[in-house]
Amino acid sequence: MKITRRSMARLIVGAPVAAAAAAVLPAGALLGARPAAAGEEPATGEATPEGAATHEPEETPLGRFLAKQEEGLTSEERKAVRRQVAGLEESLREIREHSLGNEVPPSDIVRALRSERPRR
Amino acid sequence: MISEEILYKPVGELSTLVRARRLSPVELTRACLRRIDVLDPELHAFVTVTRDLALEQARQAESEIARGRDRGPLHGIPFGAKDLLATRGIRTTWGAKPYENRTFDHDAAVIRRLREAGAILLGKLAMIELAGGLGYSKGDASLTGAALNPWNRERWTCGSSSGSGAAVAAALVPFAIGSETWGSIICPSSFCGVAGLRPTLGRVSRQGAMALSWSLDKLGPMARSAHDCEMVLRAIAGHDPEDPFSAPEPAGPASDPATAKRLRIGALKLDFGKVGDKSVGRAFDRALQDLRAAGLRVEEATLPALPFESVATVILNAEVATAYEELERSGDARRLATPQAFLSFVAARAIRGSDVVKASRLRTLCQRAMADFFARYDVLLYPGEMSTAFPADKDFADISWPDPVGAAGNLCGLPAISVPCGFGDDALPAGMTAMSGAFEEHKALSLARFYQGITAWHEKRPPLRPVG
Repeated sequence: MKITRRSMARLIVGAPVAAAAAAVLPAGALLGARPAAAGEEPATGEATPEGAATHEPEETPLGRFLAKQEEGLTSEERKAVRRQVAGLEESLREIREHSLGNEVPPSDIVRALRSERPRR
Repeated sequence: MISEEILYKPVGELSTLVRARRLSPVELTRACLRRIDVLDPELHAFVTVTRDLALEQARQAESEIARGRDRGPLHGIPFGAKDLLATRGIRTTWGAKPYENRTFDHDAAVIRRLREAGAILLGKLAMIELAGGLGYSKGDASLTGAALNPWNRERWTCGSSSGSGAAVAAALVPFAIGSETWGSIICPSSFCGVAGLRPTLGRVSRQGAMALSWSLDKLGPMARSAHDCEMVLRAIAGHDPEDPFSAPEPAGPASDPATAKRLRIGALKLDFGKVGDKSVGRAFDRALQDLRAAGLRVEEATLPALPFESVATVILNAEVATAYEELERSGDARRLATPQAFLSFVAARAIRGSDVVKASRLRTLCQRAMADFFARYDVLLYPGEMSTAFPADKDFADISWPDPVGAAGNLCGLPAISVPCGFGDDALPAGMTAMSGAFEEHKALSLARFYQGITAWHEKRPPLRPVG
């Protein structure tokens, strides 16, 4: 049985978990400081991200976009990219669907940078 | 001849001996180098051993101490640094083939601070290539192959601070510097049975360190005890305008195990029935029992319901794709040990600009929620890893590898320390992690030190052959 990092969140007993859909890849796997589980495939019955496995790749906007990006890749490499994107899309969908009010700013803080002039 | 007994002593005890001139930094350094010569060929913990520099620094420390100069508790103490920290004139590989022979003309801030504290650089420690930045699926995704676990050399150390974990566990170094973006200090500390401290984001300058993710990277110590980690943290922490994420925060109070009974402690209950190693779950439960029996009140806690993992994933992917742009442009990404690493750049193009901003805004919510959480609790306890070390040659695709709290802690830049809390059924170390609020390292450290005061797991040694 393959259990992903995201589905693992549900194993915290009593923890309310925001993610409703099951992930098919470890969410940190794509590029994380933790490893990629490159060979994982969607488990039977689990939700499959758009443009990943159930659709022909070029049928969706993402698929068309990816088809262009994947020019020059071998079929094995294309498959690997799509597996990675499937994991990423799960995260993207979750954050896109999360509703935010206007009052929530980004966490990045930009500070104006003072000029450093030579002393006269 | 310096005995193994001495080499396994914590930094605090070594320091007392060195400062009292009962232990020569030169002899200590020679003993570490001898141990590295004998054991490292089996462990692959080092990329580069800086023998001449180490002996020169050791002689300088010895001379200074003889003249009465005291640079503090790390004066005359050897250490190793993860090979993503720039070191002047010594190659810095980032664990990656394309940078195999790259040398910087400057030292990273952490290296500089440790030199000023009188510590002795024994060498650069092995790591997963690019700290795992472009993904990896095996422990041997490194310029130096898989670092092997001193507790069982058929097992991996975890990554990406692989060499740091192995070197400390095997007493090749008294302490090491590692880095964590998402799990890279906590996991090797847990797998190797050592203490590892992930400081608050901004506590330690990353100037001169490889950037994987500017908003997630932290540098921190790995050592024999929580107290050792604190000593090293005090030497390397502090505001640095050269790192824009460096925080102008005061050092904070020292930890005090005597305060542990006043801490409000939460513990996450994980279900080892579905995944993980049940014997690790039992080790963690015993640790909680020990703490309760010693008079601490530990209550069950739950994390806020927010998409920590998704937000961290999007931010990480977006930052990584730009961090290693030069590898994509040059085509050198194809020279990495992970054959399909370069595909990560292609996949990351699925992220829109608005996704990155949205993730950043959600991070604000996550940070607020965790700040509220740590207004209710001083420390959160959980098993940092739900299993013991994996077989070194295993493909991660075949392994369940949960990290239930790592996303929340790293996304929000919160400090955590892992300390050994027993062994799994396979006689490999298990770890307990204590996380606290931002810039409140002293709380997690107080709890960890209290625990190490009532247990002796951190004094256990791996079964390595004697070094004559």
